[in-house]
Amino acid sequence: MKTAPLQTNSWISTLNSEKFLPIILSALILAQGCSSESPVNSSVNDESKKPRIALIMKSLANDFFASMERGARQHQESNSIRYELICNGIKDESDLGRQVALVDEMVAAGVDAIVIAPADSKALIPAIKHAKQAGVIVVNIDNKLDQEILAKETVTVPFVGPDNRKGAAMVGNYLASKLEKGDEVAILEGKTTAFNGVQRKLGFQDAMNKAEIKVVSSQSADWETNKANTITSSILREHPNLKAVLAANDSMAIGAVAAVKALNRSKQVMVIGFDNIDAVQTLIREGKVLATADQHGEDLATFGIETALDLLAGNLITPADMQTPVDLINQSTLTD
Amino acid sequence: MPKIILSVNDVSKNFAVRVLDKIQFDLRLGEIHGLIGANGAGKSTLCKIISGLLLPDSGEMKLNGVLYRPKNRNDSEQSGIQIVHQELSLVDTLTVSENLFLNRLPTRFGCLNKTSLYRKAKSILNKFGLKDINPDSLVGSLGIGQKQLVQIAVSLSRDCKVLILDEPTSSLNQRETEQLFCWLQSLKLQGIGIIFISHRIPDIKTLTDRVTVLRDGQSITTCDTKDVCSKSILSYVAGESTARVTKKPFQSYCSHEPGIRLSHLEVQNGIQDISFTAYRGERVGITGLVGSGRTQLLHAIFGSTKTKRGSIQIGASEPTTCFTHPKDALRSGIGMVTEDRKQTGLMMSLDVKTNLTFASLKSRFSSNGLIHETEEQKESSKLRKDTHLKCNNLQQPVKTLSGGNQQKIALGKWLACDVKILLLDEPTRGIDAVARQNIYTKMEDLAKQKKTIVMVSSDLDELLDNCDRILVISQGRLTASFTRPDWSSDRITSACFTDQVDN
Amino acid sequence: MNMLGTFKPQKQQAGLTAVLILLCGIFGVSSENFLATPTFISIANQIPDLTLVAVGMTFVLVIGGIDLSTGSTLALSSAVFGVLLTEHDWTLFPASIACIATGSLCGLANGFISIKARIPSFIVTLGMLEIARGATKVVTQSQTKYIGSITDPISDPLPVLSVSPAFLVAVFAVIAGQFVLSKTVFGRYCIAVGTNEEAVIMSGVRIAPYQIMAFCVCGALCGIAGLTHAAKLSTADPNAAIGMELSAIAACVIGGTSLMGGRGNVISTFLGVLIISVLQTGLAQLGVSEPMKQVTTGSVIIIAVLSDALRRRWSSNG
Repeated sequence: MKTAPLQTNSWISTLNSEKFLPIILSALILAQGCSSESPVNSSVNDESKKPRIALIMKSLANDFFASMERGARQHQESNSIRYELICNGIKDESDLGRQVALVDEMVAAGVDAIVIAPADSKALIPAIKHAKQAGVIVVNIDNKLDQEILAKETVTVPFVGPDNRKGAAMVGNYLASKLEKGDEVAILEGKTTAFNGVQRKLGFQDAMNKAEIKVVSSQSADWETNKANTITSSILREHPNLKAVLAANDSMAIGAVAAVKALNRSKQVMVIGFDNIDAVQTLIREGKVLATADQHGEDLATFGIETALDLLAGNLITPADMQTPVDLINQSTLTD
Repeated sequence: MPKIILSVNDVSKNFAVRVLDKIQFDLRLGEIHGLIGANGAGKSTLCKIISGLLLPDSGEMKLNGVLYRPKNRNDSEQSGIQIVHQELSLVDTLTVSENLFLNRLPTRFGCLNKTSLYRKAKSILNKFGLKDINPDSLVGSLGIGQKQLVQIAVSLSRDCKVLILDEPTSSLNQRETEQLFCWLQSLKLQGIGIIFISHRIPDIKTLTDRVTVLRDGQSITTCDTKDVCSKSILSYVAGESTARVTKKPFQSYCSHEPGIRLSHLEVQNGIQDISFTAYRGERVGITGLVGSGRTQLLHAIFGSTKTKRGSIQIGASEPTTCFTHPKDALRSGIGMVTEDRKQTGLMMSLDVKTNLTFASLKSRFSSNGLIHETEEQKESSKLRKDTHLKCNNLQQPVKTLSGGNQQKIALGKWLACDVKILLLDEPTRGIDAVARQNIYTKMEDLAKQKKTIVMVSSDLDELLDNCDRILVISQGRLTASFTRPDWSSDRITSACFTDQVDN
Repeated sequence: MNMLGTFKPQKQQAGLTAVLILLCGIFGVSSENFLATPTFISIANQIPDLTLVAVGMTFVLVIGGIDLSTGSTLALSSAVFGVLLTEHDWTLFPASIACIATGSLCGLANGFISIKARIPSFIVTLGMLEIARGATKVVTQSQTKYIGSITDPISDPLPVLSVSPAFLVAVFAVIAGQFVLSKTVFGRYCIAVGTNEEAVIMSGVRIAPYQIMAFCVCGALCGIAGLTHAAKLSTADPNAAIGMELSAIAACVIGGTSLMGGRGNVISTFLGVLIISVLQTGLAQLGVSEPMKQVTTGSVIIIAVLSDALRRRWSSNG
């Protein structure tokens, strides 16, 4: 009768007692460590000769990287004889510390090559330098590392990816073809610290300058939908003659569309985006977004992996940059 | 003529109203000077002015014959005036020695020098006759009495010419009080002037050399303590309200219908096998030493302490097992005024009305979850009158009221519930004589209405004055029961100590 | 010392309104199109999500807790809503119910675990912040779901009033929230529990149900906020409302809610929300750079709370 509640009590008190907390915590940490390393260990047992490639991406919550991961996994499945793949991403795009740690962890896990989409074009360079010193081959995809710092650190990392500036200029030119000289437009920038964000903004500006269209406002919405919504509403009120919003990614384009709609200006204001995520395709079909750019995220990782494999096999002696295609997506390309 | 260290001449202070009116006060070298007055008489304001927490509007003070105008607490401490408040300001998680030297910890190469700290602390404790306190023990592990002594030692360890003690005995038991008094007498001989603020006339009588009575912001009289009797001090304190505080003869309203019957109540590592019956209209007093289980007994009845065994029978109903939550006790008609009104009795930052109607909110002042504000307002005005509560309005936060008025609210809360059985734990601790009398009168009213009252108190006199029966608890057991008029203070006190003598 | 620390919401609200008018004045002078009806209509359509979350947060703060998971709960609710509408072809009404239920469940879990197991709500809701965000990504498969025009009845401006139903819901939540807090037994108990838990127990009240209820109310309001958020943007975004819990806490604190519990007012919280959003809109309209926006917003939060604290101190000394 009496012992039963006593036992549960003591069990709970064991859990509660602060002495045990560190033990439980460390057990959890250990467990986590094991699980992340297990694929590496198992591969050693399977076939020791097969090269292992780590793919390190930015936020997996972002459609773009999610599809990149899918593409890479598909490629690995059809090429499973050639290499092993370890995919990793970070929680959100600003979690730099985690991505740096991932690079170190992968080096420690003994991978042969790292294919990385850096969350920051500068902060990742020291970690990548370490990796190279440890004999790991590194291929840079998506967001190009800062060339000046790379040169200063005497590190060469091949870049495989699209030219964001050209891509943005392409979508911008398409928009310009629907506008007239002297029209007013606004740019929604990405995170100001991101290289690709800056490139896209420059690309938009190139296109607008060429067509002599006036950029009346250019603000950062941090790649976020809701923030883009707030900022676009404000810009629309401040500039009643605004003709278009150029968003540096599709998430922001979605926010801009909602703002335009809420102010009943859908007829006057056009929106363009970048990335070609699924949600935006619907908006393009409905005519709410004019166009976006597709830089083939799912193939991007594949290109990176192929380059890494080439380097590993010694086919490429001098690592060179490789440009991947960027395509314009609008209503007519989608119906095809 | 003994030397005067501190003199206060014509000091006045106004807030919205005049709080101090041309106060005259002086403190001689090596005397203990009692300061007594009802709450709101201006005692704490005077002390705040002396210790630099407030600036006087007019008047002047002299310290050792030199004009003294402290602008803040630091000024007064520099001049050697130390104040010990009712609320202790010790850090429970540090040791006694660390508390003693908190603002000037001895260091060596930037690290705490424990040897030197221990030595210095030990010498201070020895100097002030506190040899039995270990400098290395945590303050949190000390009893309230010892903490009080340590707190005073902290003040004395600084440069101390004048020591102000604000209600130092309110939370001490008799033995601790005696120890404190003994100690203060010896400090006096070291040439320190002590201002001793208290509500308790007996304390003033035993300890002080002279006493100053404040009433409504005026200094009524200053006289040698040995020349006045307690009654005349009381009449000075109370002024025209003397009539109200004179003792009425005790009248019993005890009936033969049982109000609450306890059988074999037991708490793990606490009270053992306690059984008694309290009748309707009866006022039962419970006394015993601190830690004997008096408070625990009330909590066990009220369901706020887990009981191991025992049953409770309310009125003529069937006996039931003990309550597991105060909610069940309240549903059976039991209310409890707790010992510590700040911690467990009241919501200090909320207003008078909210506190008064809180316990009965659900049963009396709401339907379908909505509060009936007009009825709530009406009832709280009535309770305010009933309990002689003094406040500006019902929207005033409780923390701005005096202790006595707070206690009236803690009691009024249960009056609003119309409970059949009321448990009172130290209901008059730290409140002034007039408020005390109000509470006794209210208890008598309740007894007249055939309510059962169970009251725990360390103050034996108040139990002797107000109870039909006094039960004594010692080491968790009910050891004796005394019924009026067959009792005496000596016999009850000795009963409190019985078990300890046996062991 | 704070001798007369009376909480007088009317005085405080007058102060907040003054700040609000001052802000509008400043923006009105520096931006030609700020003081115009469209600006205020558009603010009205921007704020429902933050308002609803902040009202819920006020309840949790009043009982002396904190809910860090509100942003994630909002995202999860809107994700459930979006996926049910787009992939399972639910109609608007049942999907809305499911959305609010999702939020309520998160709140219930927060409350139940933190109260019953006596773990500080800070820790439990910190865990929920991660769990709900993870669940959001699972539900949406980490992809932004475009909902389309199904949600227009919630977000489209009403003909005469020219504000959206979502805004009316938020205003209703503010009024109802204040009513519940000041006129009902539940509200009274919430304030009392936040002031002195022990005293409430010793007054014969079982507090756990009320505490859990407060978390649940907060969760439900996050659910409704998820609904208005998804409707406003016509999308369910897995990254929605990251960091919104902090904006909500800021709004509550500007409105004078105590983080220690026992003090709070829903109307004042709403004024806090208005101050934050007027600031956001105004700064965006001026085209101020991102870092300056952050510095300004942070400064206004501190100045608002500081001036309130000073006012309180003066009024108690005077």
